[in-house]
Amino acid sequence: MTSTLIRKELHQHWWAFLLIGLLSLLGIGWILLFSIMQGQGGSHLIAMRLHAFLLAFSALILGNRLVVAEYSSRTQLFLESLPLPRLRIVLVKFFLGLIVILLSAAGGLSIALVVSARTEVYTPRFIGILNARYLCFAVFVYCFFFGMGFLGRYRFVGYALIIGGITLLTRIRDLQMSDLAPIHLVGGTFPFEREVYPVTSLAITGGLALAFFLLAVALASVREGSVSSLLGERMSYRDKITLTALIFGILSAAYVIDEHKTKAPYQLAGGAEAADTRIARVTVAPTSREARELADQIGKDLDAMADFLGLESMPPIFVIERPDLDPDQFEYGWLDSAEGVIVRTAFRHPDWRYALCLEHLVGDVIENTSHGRAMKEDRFWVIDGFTLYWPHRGDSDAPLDRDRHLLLRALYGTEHLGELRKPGDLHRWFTHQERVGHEITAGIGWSLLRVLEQEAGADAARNWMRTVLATERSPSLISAYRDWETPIDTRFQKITGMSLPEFLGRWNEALDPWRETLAEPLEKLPTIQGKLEFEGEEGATTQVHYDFSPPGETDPEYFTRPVLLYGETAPFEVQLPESQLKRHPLASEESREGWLPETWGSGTGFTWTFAADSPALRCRIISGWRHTHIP
Amino acid sequence: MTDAPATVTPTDNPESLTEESSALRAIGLRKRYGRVSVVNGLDLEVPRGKIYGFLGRNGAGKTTTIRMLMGILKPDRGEIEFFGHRTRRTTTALKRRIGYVSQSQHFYPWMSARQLGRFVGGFYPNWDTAEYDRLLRVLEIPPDRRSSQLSGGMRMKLALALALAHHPDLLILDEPTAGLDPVAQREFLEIVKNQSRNHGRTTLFSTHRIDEVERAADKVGIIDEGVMRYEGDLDDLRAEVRRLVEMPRKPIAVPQPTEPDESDDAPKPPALPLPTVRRENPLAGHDGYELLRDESVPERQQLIYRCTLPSPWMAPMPDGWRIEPLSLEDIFMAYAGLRVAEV
Repeated sequence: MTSTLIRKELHQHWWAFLLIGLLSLLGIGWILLFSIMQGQGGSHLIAMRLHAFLLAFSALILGNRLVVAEYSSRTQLFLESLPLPRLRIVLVKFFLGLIVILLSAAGGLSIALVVSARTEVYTPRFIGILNARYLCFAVFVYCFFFGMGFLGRYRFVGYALIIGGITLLTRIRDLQMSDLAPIHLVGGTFPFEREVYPVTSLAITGGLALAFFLLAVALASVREGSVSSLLGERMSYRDKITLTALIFGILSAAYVIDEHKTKAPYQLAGGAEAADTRIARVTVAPTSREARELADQIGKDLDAMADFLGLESMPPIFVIERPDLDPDQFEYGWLDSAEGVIVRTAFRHPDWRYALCLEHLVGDVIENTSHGRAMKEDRFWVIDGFTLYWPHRGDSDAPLDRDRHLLLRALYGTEHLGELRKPGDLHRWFTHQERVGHEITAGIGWSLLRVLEQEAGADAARNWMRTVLATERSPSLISAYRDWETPIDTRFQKITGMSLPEFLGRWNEALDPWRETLAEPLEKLPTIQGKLEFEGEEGATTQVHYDFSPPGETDPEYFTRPVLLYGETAPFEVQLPESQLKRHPLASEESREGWLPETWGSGTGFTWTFAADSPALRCRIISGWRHTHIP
Repeated sequence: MTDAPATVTPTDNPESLTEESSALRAIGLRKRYGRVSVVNGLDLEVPRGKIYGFLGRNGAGKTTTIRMLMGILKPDRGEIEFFGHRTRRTTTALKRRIGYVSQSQHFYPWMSARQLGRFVGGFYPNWDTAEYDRLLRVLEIPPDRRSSQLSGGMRMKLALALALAHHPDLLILDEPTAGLDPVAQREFLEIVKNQSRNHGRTTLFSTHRIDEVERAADKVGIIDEGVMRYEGDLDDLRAEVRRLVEMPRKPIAVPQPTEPDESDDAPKPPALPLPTVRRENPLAGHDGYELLRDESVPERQQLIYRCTLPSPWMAPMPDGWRIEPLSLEDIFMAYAGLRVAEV
C-alpha cells in the first residue's frame, strides 16, 4: 500500500525531484567553487549559506508539489475513496519529502566538510554541532513549507503575515533576523561555533518544525479533510484583492514604523556646545574653557568631513569628561532610546591627544550615517583607513612618511600579514584585525587611501570614499540588490579607473621603498609571543597559566609596558570593548610567567592576547587575538 | 500502521449479529456540519444480491450517507453493519470488500486507464488484472488514453471498471449517471443490472431520478432532509400509496335576489361562487393509514396516504371520495415534498 503510494508520488513529481537533485548539485558545485576561490584563507563552510538557501527553495518546491498540487486538483478525494487511511496519505508524502531534503542537506554538508578539511581542524564535537545545526534547519524548512501547503490558497497570506510580522518585529525591536532561530542556525556563527551547541536555537527550531508538522496533520484530518479540501480551492478574485491589500498594508506599516523610529536627540544637561557649525552638533561636558575649545574643534573637523564626504546630516556628538580613564582610553555610551554618539574620555589629561579622539569619533559617525553598511568586511579597509586619513589629512602629494608613525604601522602590519595583493585579501579584514590589532590595520587602510589618492588623483579617491562611507540610504532589498548587482570591487574600478588587483600592485610598489628606508625602526618592532594553558579538573573551575616570551633586547620607544589582555565573552561574542578587557601587567621579570588571579567555569568564552605599547607607532602591538572556550 | 485482515468475521457479541441476508445496514446514522443536521438518525438495509435505489432530492443527505458508509466521513452517531460485522466506522479492511464509484471523478489527469488500474490495484489484495482489462474492453475504454482526455461517460465507466475489478461483495455508486447523456445513462444502468443478475452483486446506488430506480432497483429507500422516509420493495410501495380525492361538492342552494333594474347601462355585480359543504376526511384518525401529503385546493381535498395494513386499500370508500393510484414519481414527490413557494 505504502510502496504504491510512493511509486505514485515519484511518478507524478519526477521532474520536481529531478529539479531538487539539480539544485543540490548546484549547491555542491558552489561549495567546490567557493573552496577553490577561497584557497587557504577563511572558513570554507561559509559556502553553506547559499546551499541553505537552495535547500529552502527545494523545500518550497516539495511542499508545493506534494501537498498543494494534490489538494488543489482535489485528487486527494480519489485517494480517500480507496482503502487507505487518510493519515497514511499525509505521512507517506511527509516522509518521502523529508528524506529527499535530508539527503540534499547531508550531501551538501558532507561535501563542505570534506573540502574544508584543508583549512579546518575537526573535532567530533564541531562536526556534531555542524550536523545538528544544518539538519535541524533542513527539517524545519521542510516542515514549514509542508505545513503551509495545507493552507492552500491561504498559504500566500500566511507567508505575507510571517514575513511582515518578522520584518515589523525586527524593525520595532532592532533585532537582526540572523540572530533569530531558525535562521541563526545557518547564520554567521555556523562555520565558527566549535564548542557550544546552540541549544535554545535548536529547541526553538525543532519546536517550530513540530508545530508545522502538526498543523499539516491537523489540517489534513480535521473535519474529515474537508477543511484542507476547501482551502485547496483556487483563489477567487476577492481573495486576490484581499491578499494584495494585506501585503500592501504590511509593507506600509513597516515603512511607517521605520520612518517614525527615528530617535530623538540625546539631551545632555549642561555642557559646552560647538558654535558656528553647519551640520555637526557637538556638546562637551562639563562646561569649561577646554570643553568649549574642544567642542569647537570637533565641530569644525566634523563639518569639514561632512563637506568632504557629502554628508547632509550626522548624529549629535556628546563628549563627557571622565578623569579616571587613561588618556588613550575612550569609553562609549550606548543610547537605546535617543539618537547620538556618547564618548567618555579624560580630555583634560596632559597626555590626551586630540587626533586620537577624532579617530574614534570619525569611525562612530560614519558607522551611524551609513546605517552600518560601511562596516561590511569587504569594504572595511576604507572606514578603517579613513579614521586615520581624516584626522591626519593634508597635502595629497606629501610623502607617506609625513605621518611616520602611520607609515610604520602599515609596514609593520604588512610584514606580519604577508602580501596583500588580491581583492580577497582585503575581504578578510576582520581576520587581519584579529591578527595584528585594529590600530595596525587602520594604518594599512590609511596607507591604501593615501596611495589611492596619489595614484588615482584626489577627486577619484574622494569619490571612492564617498561611495563607501556616505551611503545614507537605509538598508533595503533594493540596496542589497544594488550591492549584489555591482560588487564593491567593480565600483572601485569604475570610480578610480584601476582594478583592485592593479591598485594593490601599485600600493605594494609604493610601500616597498619605505621598507628599505625604514628598515631600522621596523627591525626594532618586535613580534610578541606567548602562550596560555588551562588547568583544572573536570567539573571544577579552571585556572589559566600564561607564559609570555619577551622579545629580547628592546627599545622602549618601540616596545614598552607589555600586558596580557583578556576577558570573558558571551556566546557568539568574539570582540570585547576596551573597557571590558582586563590587563595583567608583564613588565617585570617575575611576572612574565604565572597564573591569572581569576578562575573560570567550563564552557566560558575566553578571549586574550599579549600586547605592548609602541610609542613609535602611537598604538599597541599584539600577539594576535585568540578566542576559545574554557575546557 | 497495519491494516486488519481483509476477511471479516462476525463479532462474538450476539447483539451485533444480524440477519445474514443483509449485505449492508445502517443503524441510526447521524451527521452534523456545525448547526446543520445533514443526516438525522438514518436507518438503511440493503439485501444481499439486490439492487438498492437510494432516492432523494439534491441535498437530502445521500452523498453524506454514502461517504459515511465508505468510511470517508465519520458518523457522529450510529453504526454500520457490513455482512454481519457491526462497526462505528468502515475500516480499511472492509473498504477492500466494497467497490465505490463517487459522484464526481477526481482521477490523476496524467494517468491512463491502464496506469490507474495498476495504481488502484496496489490497494486491493484480490485485484484481478485480467478482469480489469476485460472490463476496459467491454466498456470500450481506451486503456492508454489519459484520464483527462476521457469524456464524462467514459470516466464514469472507468470508475465502474476500477470498482469492479477486485470482485467486491458490495458495489456503492453515488449518483453514477449524473451528468451523463441518456444513452450513457441507459448503458451504465444495464451494466449495473447485469452485474447483479450475472454475478449476484449487491448494489446500492443513489439517485434523484425516479425512472432509474424504476428501471434498475429491487428495493428503494427514499431519504428526505436526512431521514429515511420509506424503505421497501417498489411494488409494495406502489400498492401502499394512494391519493384520496374528494369528488366535486354540491353547491348550497341560496335564493337569488330579484333584479330591480334591467337596463343595460346599470353595472352588474360580479358573480359570486356558490358556497359548498366540505366533506369529512374518511381516513382521519384511522390506524394503518399515514398521511404523507396534503395537496388540497379550495375546491377539493386531495390527500396522499400510505396504507400499512396487510391488505391495503381494500375497504370501500364512502360516497364523494375516490382513490387514485400514483406513479412512482408522484409517490416520491409525496415523500420528498414538492415545496413550491407561493409566489
